[in-house]
Amino acid sequence: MTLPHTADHTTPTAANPAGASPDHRRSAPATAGADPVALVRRHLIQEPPTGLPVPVIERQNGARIEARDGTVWLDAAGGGFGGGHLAVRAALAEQARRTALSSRILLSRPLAGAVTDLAAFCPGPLSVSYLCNSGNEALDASLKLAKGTHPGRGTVLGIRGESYGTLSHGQSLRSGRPVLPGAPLRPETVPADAPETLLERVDASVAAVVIAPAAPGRPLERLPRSWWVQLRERCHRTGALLVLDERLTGPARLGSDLGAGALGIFPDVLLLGETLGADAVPVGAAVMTAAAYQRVYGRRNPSLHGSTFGANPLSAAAVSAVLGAVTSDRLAERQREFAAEAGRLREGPAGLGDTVRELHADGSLLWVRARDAAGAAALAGALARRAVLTRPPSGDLLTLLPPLTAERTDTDQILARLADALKDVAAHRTEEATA
Amino acid sequence: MSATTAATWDRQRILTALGRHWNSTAALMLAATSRQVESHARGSEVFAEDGSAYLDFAGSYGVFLVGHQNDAVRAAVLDALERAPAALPGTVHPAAADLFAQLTEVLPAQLDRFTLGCSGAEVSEAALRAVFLARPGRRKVVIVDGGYHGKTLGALTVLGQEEHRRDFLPRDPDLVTVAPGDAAAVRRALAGGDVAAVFVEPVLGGAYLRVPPREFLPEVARACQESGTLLVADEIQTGFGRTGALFAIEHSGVVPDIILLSKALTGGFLPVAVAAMTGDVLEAARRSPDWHPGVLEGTVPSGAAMAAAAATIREVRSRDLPARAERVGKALREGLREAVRRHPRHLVDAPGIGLMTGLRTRNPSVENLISMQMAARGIHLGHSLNEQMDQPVLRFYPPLTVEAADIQRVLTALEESLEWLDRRPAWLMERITWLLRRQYRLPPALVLKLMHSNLKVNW
Repeated sequence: MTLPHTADHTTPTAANPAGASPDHRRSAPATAGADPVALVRRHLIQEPPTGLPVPVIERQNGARIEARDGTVWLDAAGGGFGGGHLAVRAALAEQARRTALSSRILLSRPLAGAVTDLAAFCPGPLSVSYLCNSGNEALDASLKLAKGTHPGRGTVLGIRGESYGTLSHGQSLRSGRPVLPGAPLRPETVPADAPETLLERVDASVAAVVIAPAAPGRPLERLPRSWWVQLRERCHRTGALLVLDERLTGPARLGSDLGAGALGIFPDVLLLGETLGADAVPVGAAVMTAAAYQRVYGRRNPSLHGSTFGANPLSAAAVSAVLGAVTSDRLAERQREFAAEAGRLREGPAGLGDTVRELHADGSLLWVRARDAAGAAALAGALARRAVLTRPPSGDLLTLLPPLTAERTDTDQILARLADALKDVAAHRTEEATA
Repeated sequence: MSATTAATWDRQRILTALGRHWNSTAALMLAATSRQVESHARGSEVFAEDGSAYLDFAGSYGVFLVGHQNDAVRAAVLDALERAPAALPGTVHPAAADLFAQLTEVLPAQLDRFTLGCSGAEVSEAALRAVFLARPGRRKVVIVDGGYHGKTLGALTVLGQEEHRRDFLPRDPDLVTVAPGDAAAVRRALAGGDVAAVFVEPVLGGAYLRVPPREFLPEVARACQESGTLLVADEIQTGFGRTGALFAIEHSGVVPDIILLSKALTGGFLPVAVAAMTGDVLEAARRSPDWHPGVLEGTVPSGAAMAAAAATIREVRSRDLPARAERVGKALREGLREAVRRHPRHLVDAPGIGLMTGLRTRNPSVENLISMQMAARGIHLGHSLNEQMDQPVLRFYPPLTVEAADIQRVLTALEESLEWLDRRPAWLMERITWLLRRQYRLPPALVLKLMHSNLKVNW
């Protein structure tokens, strides 16, 4: 922090009459002509660089990314809808030309359409949508709903190591410990390799349980239907809010409209994320039962919860356009085809060899568990050399998430390059062992 | 289900959908006030589908700084939508580099480490995490009464608006609340050396709008420096020229440890937010035993959103909109002060700086009635939606591109509205305030009847 009178590049308060701007900024642009990658690395707070090449995006179309240096990459990192879908792009452009954000004083036709579409898309009694600016905020909104439902309860349950987003309570769930000293909810977590133990932790002290149908490292069938039914029953009995986190798995990702359909239960809240915004418009949605909503927000000041940008017309238009495309383009079916192709990687005389312990695809949620973290990093590197973009590995786990709208030729290429990368890593491992 | 579900719906059907599937109380309020359907917007105006036009002096509480549908920002957004809308992990979007270049040119040089988000609340939370990491062992935070830093569950822990917090969390003994403008109280709170940070809006915003004494922020900064406390300046409402300077901190020359930016940064198009902090704060946070990778990261906005933000900063600078806010805003500030002089029965004062202006009303009914009278004259103002306050501020936050003639039109309409109010008896104000404080508990049909609305509550 710099005080007036104490720093040579700020103007003392006494010499700063109202309206005058002290020249405490750089006198000349320090970044003119700077390399974009270097510039972003210099200023963005993020994990250290992985050492992998970083393409500068020039154009996106489905899974294809044209980089500024002329290389063409395949996206298996975004996990979203994919750019370049003609109908969705046209809908977004049309709405952006009319009104994007809004003062929300008038009635919003796009919003009415979006929340109706969400109610139709989500199963059973899930009918009230809180539209916000990211899946991470949607998750936070569900926890706020839980806290409003049970002000006296201080615990939220989750699976340690799985992703719960970037807001403070989400980060707590991932790490298993609070990141804010005065946090309203404390995380209680179970290990990722024993998700079934979550059930026994649900009691009357728990405000909410947050769990995804499937996650990297946890196949959809890992927890059987009977387990989900027990979880539903126990949440019902204790009053704990059951929050189904479909930020990654919905819509269409798992090969069906929503993962919820495979579980045999209805949650109290279902979360959706950036896919709804076609990766272009920041948006998230917490879709809840009317009963859960009314308990906290019914007949209350409508500003009790909300945000400046949430429920804006452009995001609403995106939601309707994306859900329309999921249905009209049969995107769930496309993800099932991807899963079937991915499964063939395990076939063949050598199978997966000894470089990986597990490879699994639920729809186009594909993950590879390597022998160790070094193996996952090596695989990510081998894929990068083949111009396949992946998320940084999490320990021994590497996840591939092509966009929902990726063309079959591109997803086939992603899988072919993955097969090639697996062989490459195996060969390298053999060389090392021999040496 | 279809993407064009709502294309042919009438007003009642739209309201029904909003009531059933979005926010039942908000839908009731929209029905009660017989709102039309939004069509499009341009400059300082918003247009309804029935052809009616409204001057937008609500401005979504500061979002529409460069006006609705600003040409330069819209072009940047449409270009990004066409070429590369997403920001993908493991890549760099050129709009991110452009945004960072712009930010480093306008922010104080020390504030050069950025975390991104999609809302002000998200970056408020990131700032909270940063200060607790950078000042381990200190659990206390000082906030200003009435201060606002978002309503996510983490941001609620530093919310200075009790009415929005108490239903979710109890009063935290580690949260120290000081009166607006009371630097001595801040100094006393920091004396124990156990406060991690002071969160402050350089101009207290929202329904609590108040311009602090000139010495407030420098004195707070001094107390922070002496006690090793971090200073977080929330410029989410004030940033990019609203107060007549690019950032409100410039009025006092103070450079905080962390600055929070959003609202105007969107250019009115796409959600985006930034927490900019010094390298010292980041390094201190990294030394914490509780540091882990990703702890200060937020939701990365889309490429299209970052393109909007970069274009917005460029627009603010090239048109020198902060100077315009000061110049054009003078007439609005003086006009509002004159309204207070002429109508002391209804108005307390007219806080304002640049084009961040408002009227502190005697009670919620005055705010409500002025707002409705102005709406009837085709002008939208920033209503507090806070009927529990004693004296809410009705905000006037026009775009910085607003024309002088529009300001005169608003002041004329305001005078007419206040004269209308003068003709109403005092007991009516009390009765309406009483009703407003109970409005959400009233039978919806009664609310519509009281408001002479011909719409129905069928959800």
